[in-house]
Parts: sequence; C-alpha cells; structure tokens
Amino acid sequence: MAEVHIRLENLCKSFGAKHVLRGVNLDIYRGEILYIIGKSGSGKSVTLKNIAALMRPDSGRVLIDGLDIHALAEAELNQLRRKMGVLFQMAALFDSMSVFENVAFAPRRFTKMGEDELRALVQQKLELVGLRNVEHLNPSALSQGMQKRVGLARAIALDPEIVLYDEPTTGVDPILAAAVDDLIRTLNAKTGVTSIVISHDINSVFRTAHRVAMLYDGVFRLVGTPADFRNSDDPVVRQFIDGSAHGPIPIL
Amino acid sequence: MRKLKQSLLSFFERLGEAILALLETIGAFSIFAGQTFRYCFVPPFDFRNLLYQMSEIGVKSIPVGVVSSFFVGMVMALQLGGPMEQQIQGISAFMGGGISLAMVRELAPVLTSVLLAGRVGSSIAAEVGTMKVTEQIDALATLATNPVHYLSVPRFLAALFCIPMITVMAIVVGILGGALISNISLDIPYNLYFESARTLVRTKDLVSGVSKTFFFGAEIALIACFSGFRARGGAEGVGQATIQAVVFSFMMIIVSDYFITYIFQLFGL
Ligand SMILES: Nc1ncnc2c1ncn2[C@@H]1O[C@H](COP(=O)(O)OP(=O)(O)OP(=O)(O)O)[C@@H](O)[C@H]1O
Ligand SMILES: [Mg+2]
Repeated sequence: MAEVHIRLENLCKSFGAKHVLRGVNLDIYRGEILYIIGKSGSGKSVTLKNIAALMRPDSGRVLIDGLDIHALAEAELNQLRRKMGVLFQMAALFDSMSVFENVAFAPRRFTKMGEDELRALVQQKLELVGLRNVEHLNPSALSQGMQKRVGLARAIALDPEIVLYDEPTTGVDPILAAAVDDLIRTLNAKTGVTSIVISHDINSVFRTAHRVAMLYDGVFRLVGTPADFRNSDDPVVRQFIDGSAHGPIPIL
Repeated sequence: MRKLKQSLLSFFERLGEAILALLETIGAFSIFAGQTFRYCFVPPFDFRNLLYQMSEIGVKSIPVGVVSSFFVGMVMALQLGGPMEQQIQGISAFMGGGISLAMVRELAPVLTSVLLAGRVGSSIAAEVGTMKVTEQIDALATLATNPVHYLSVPRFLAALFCIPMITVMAIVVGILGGALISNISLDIPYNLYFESARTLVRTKDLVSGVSKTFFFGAEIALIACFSGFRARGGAEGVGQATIQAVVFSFMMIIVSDYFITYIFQLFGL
C-alpha cells in the first residue's frame, strides 16, 4: 500500500483576495480510500478540481504516477483522464442525452464497442450502482440521488484507476447513502481503484475511509486513520467530528 | 476643485478598467475562435453531432427565414411602386430588378443572418451556458473530451453551412414575394418583372450577397458559443450570456456587413 499514486505538492489557489488553498501537501497511495473533510467553502471541491486538472493551481504541483498533470500536453492529459473518473457534486449529467447515452459517452468515443456490447456495459454499470431500466430516461426525470448514481456509472464506465467523488452521499437518503458507501468500498476492493471522496457525512467517513484528511484554513489540519481522528484532541478536529456549533471554527 | 479632480480621476480609472476588460474579452474571443478553427481539422470528426446541429440550426430555421423574406419582398413592392410611378411614368417596369438586386445583395443576407442570430444564437448561448454553470462542461473535460472541440466545432460548422443555404432560399422567396405584389397591386406582368430582374442582377451580385453570410454565420456561432462558455453563476448568468450573444451578434453582423461589402467592392464584387 506504500506506492504513492497521487501527490499534492504545495498547492496554492486564490480567487481575488480570497486564499482558498495555502499550500496543500498530501500523498495518496495506490488503492486506498481517502476522504477529504472540511466545512463548507473550505476548498474541498477546489482541491478535487485541481486533481482532475479542471482548475490550475496558482502554484504547486499535482503528480499522478509521477507526472505533473498541469504541465502535460492536451493529448497526454486526455490519455491520463481516461484512467480517471469524476463524480460531480451536482452529478453534471448531460441533460440533452438519455441516461444510456450519458453512461455510454466515454466507451462510445474511446473504444470500438458495438451497440450490443455498449448496451451490456451500460446495463452492468447501472446495476452496479443499483439502477435498472432507466436507460431510456432523461436525466431531468431522475431524483437527485438517482442522478448521482448515474453520474457514478458514467465515471466508472471505462474502469478507471482513480475515482474522485464530490459528495456522493449528499442529497441521498440514509439507506442509499449506506449503499453508496458500500459501493465505494466494493469498487475499491474489486478493482483496487484509488478513491478520493469528499464528504460532510461523518458516519460515512468513519464507515468507509482508510484515511481521512481534514482541510482547514487552506491546509490539511490532520491526515490520519479514522481512529486518529476519533482520538484527536485538536479542538478544531473535535468540533468538526462532534458536529458542534461551539468551538474554534468560525461559522461565518 | 479638489472634488472635480477626484471625480475626474475616478472617471479615468473606471474608463481604464472598462477598456482593459474589453481588451481582455477581445483577446479571449480571438483565442477561442482560433481554437475552434483548429479543432475543425482534428479527429475524431463527430458527423452524428454535426448532422444534428445542422438540423437544429439549419432545417428548423428555414420557416423563419423564408416567411420573413417573402413578406419583405411583398412590402418592398408595396412601398416602392406608388411613389416611383408618381415621379417617373413607367419606372415600375424596373421593379423586378430593383427588388431582386436589393434582395440578393443586402436584404436577404442581412435579414436572414439577423433572424438566425436571434433564433440560433440565443439557443446556442443558453444551451452552452447552462452546461457551463451546471458543470457539464467540466464533466466533458474529465471524460477526455475537449469542450471546444465537442460543443463549438459542430455548431460553428453547421452555422457556416446552413446560413448561406437559407439565405439562398430567402433570396428566391423574397423575389417571388415582390413579383406577387407587383402583379396584384401594380399590374406588372410576371414576365416583365423577371425580365428586369434578369438584366439587373448579375452573378457577382449573388456571389457578393451569399458569401457575406459565411462570415455572418461564423460570427453568430462563435459569439454564441463564447458567451455560453463564459457564463457563470446560475440561471441569471445564463440569461446574461444569452442577451449578450444576441446583442453582440446583431451588432457584429451590421458592422461587419459594411466592412465586408467595402472590401468586396475593392475586388469588384
Ligand atoms: N471558480 C471560482 N471562482 C471564484 N471563487 C471560487 C470558485 N470556485 C470556488 N470558489 C470559492 O472557493 C471557496 C471554496 O470553494 P469549494 O467549492 O472548494 O468549497 P467546498 O469545500 O467544496 O464547499 P462545499 O462543501 O459547500 O461544497 C469558496 O469560498 C468559493 O466561493
Ligand atoms: Mg464542494
């Protein structure tokens, strides 16, 4: 488990005068499930977008398999992206396409599969996320939780080595949330995929994570196992885990 | 005095900022247009998507373009016939030539382009803008698909092909509209009308009129896609982008019409 898959090196990102990331450092190992937690607006999605090369850091590097992804030419970056799936916070399904076309998007473009194979693949991926007979529907006809699962099916359609999840369980009922957590773990166990998960849901985190990193004030305040977090006596960490409105973390 | 100086200073400051923002937008637009041109020649070539856009942008715009042009032809005959005949007896024998020349060189190209800037430009900007603010464009990128390549290229090519074709239809139908009213209310026989059209309108007029619309089509699609890509901040941002796309393409069509015509005339068109 010691092989570094993704390395974040001193990532900094500001929007105007607002310093969101102030030097983020982290090694993510191949095959692990890493959760990123932190309060709303702390820069979790920004971190994820830097890893997915959707946003350029002001300074610092993101290394995947030793390659600085923000220095790659477009063709190389796209090669790398076929091995990475991203689940967006709002699912970001293509609303002009059916569920089938959404999930089949990458396989259709990047493999030579025929229609029958595509159909089988899409059905298999949808069943994996607990959906059946929704292929013909339009994304707008789905609940938020279903949209997220379709988004996940789309993200894993090409069997990626890395999956980035932005709040997979937000807006999903507790039973489904548990199912999504199971899914993250199953996927990880079956395929050895490296998973980075953003979550607000402390229960999910403790249930699923191998390691947890807490973003606070633009840096990782604590990186460790769930047990490390449970035993931490850092008041900032404590407040977040106990879900208390009182403590050192300012609400506004 | 000091107050005046201060308000002057802040005026120039704001003017400077506005100019910088304008330059920034022009620069970004040029880069975007350049990328779109370049990706036209980069595989994969998505013919399915191109055909779909041609039907959305082209086929569905035919009724708007054709009906409007028919009525413009009719109203021209109505407006010109009486006054011209009052001044010079028999001048309305040239009605066919006058209307046709105006249709071919100016009216059909500009009218079609402006109508399509409204219909097509707004729908492109709204669609791409919605995709931007709902992160669908980011999703495209993570699926190893360049968003400019996937979204902008087919819309650009579709507009480039379809708008000239609709212009040709508009020319034909506009001339027919003029013929109809010339015949009904001015008693000009059809053969006289078309005879006059044939002597006055030459091939170079047609070349000039139709080839302008390639530029207009490119302007419409590029401005609309660009506005969509720059949309931010939810539904309101999409609305802004849409308005911006329509207003700017109207302006660009009218302004560039003058310059394109001027340059064409240098080449004898
Ligand atoms: N494109 C952008 N332009 C300007 N500011 C941005 C942009 N993206 C993010 N921000 C700002 O950066 C900060 C961090 O945003 P981010 O989306 O990463 O938060 P988050 O930790 O994911 O929060 P949440 O849990 O609510 O999703 C926010 O204050 C946000 O306003
Ligand atoms: Mg977020």
